[in-house]
Amino acid sequence: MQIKVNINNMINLISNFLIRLRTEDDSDNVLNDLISFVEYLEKYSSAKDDVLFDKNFVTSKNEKGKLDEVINPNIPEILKLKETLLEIKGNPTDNEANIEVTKESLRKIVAALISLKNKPNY
Amino acid sequence: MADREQHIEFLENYLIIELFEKIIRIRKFIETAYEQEKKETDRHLLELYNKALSFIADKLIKFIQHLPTKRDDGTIFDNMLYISQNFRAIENIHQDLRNISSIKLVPEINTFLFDIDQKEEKLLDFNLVLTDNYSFKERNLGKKILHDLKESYQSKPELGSTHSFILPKIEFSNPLNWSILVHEYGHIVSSNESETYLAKLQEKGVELNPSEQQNIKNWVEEMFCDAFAAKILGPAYLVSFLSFNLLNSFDCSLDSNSHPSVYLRAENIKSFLHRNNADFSTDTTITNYGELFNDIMINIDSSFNVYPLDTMEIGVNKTSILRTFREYISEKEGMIVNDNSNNKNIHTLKLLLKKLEQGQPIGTIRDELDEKVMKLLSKKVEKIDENDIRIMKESSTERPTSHWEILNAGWIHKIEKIQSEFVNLFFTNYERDIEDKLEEYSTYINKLDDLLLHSISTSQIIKSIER
Repeated sequence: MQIKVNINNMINLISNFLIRLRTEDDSDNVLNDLISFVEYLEKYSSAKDDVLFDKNFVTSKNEKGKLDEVINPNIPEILKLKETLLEIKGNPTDNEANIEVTKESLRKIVAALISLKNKPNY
Repeated sequence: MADREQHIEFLENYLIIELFEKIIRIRKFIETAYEQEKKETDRHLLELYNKALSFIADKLIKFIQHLPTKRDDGTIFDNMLYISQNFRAIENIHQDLRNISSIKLVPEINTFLFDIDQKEEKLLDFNLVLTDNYSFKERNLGKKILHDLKESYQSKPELGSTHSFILPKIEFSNPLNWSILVHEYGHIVSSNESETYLAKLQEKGVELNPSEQQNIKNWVEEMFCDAFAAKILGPAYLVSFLSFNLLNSFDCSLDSNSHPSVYLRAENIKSFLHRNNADFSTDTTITNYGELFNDIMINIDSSFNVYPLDTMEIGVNKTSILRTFREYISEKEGMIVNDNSNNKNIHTLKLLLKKLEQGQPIGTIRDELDEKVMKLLSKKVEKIDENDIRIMKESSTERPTSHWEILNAGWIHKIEKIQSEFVNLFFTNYERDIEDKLEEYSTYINKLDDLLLHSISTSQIIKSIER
């Protein structure tokens, strides 16, 4: 079965996580949500699961919003983030530093997704 | 470093207030539609849209409350990302305006377009469309229909060309963002720009494959239209162009097949204004906000570089593209900014800013009495000759203002008002209801719209009488 993931939604979710990590008092709660999200992301971005990122946005080349191409980015940062999050969960000592590492990973994932979304010449 | 942070904070605040303004403008569009059509369904939908827009406003206020006092590359990245995500939400709601009755165009928009240049015959065949997508475009409808017919028939009728300007619905009463229509008008007046430019590039030994050639042709047409708009509107065009594009700042460094990146375009506009002595650089009391936004955009880019985005590779370096374009445009006839739209006319802007501050429209202006006139006034009556009377008459007569004067004064006034009053309104006193704050800002926005619309029509009426 092919599952399509909408890149715009993904970027939006991560953007909200980045702000939640800044604004919510209960960071454990945010980190738990984040682990579930990354598990989902990891599952759907691994090659064996045959999951495709849906380039579902309108460009000047594709004004009808038709899908030009589906892509599987296999962003390595997604796997790294899950490892980091599980480490934090197992050993929640230096929360502030852990959150900073998590944020950095999330930003790199967003940058990779934005690059995919805007990749010219499709 | 402190300067950089202050500048970025200034831009973030400005962009967040721009988002609030878009919310106000969506409401204004729906209210106008209801007033014109009196359809009950529109009234019900207004309630629904209002709730959705309040939700977005509420999210923005929560975000503002947690803006960090110290900004590093990471927080700048997060902030710009959150701003662009909220802009996307507003764009989506804008698209949903298709469910609401549309509105009649305000007459001032035709006046505005009609006065872009003197070749009126070019403007006889244009058409203006309000669109659900938040985008500004120019489209040759004649060409498009011929293309559609080609799918079914081998022969084609003579249709001629009909140009359509496409304006986002919520900008229907906002002349400050009509400036982008002047760029679109550039597509009508441009002629063979890309062929001539390409020949110039190839003379320099640059070799391009057919697909690169096509990209460069598209880019050059866009750059020509930018220079055309900058020639007529000066820094007001750059500030409007960047206000629109920076709401999605992650797209600014990215090229597409049809458009060069916002970075390249802004640099082109900025250098065009600079070379034409039209960048306000001769007066320290007048700020070129377009140039300031451009500088901040470049500063933000260094934050984004920590998380690099891929961009398009093209077989010629972008500095060469820009440099060759500068040579090309400086040799092109009719692309020199005249004295009424360059730094020599800054003194008028100051007078117009004063009028706006006093809540007066700026469709006409009477220049301040200069030394020569003051001297004449003290002359004995019997010594006054015909020429003296002519000078005195001219100095006491109001003349109509130009688009350049109205839009530059309008933008400067708005941004300075945001800095002096509205940053304070939105970024402090969080106990106060956000709807209350939006109401206060909307009173200002509506008043400014009215003043500028009134100014455009007054200046056009006087010009018509004088013709």
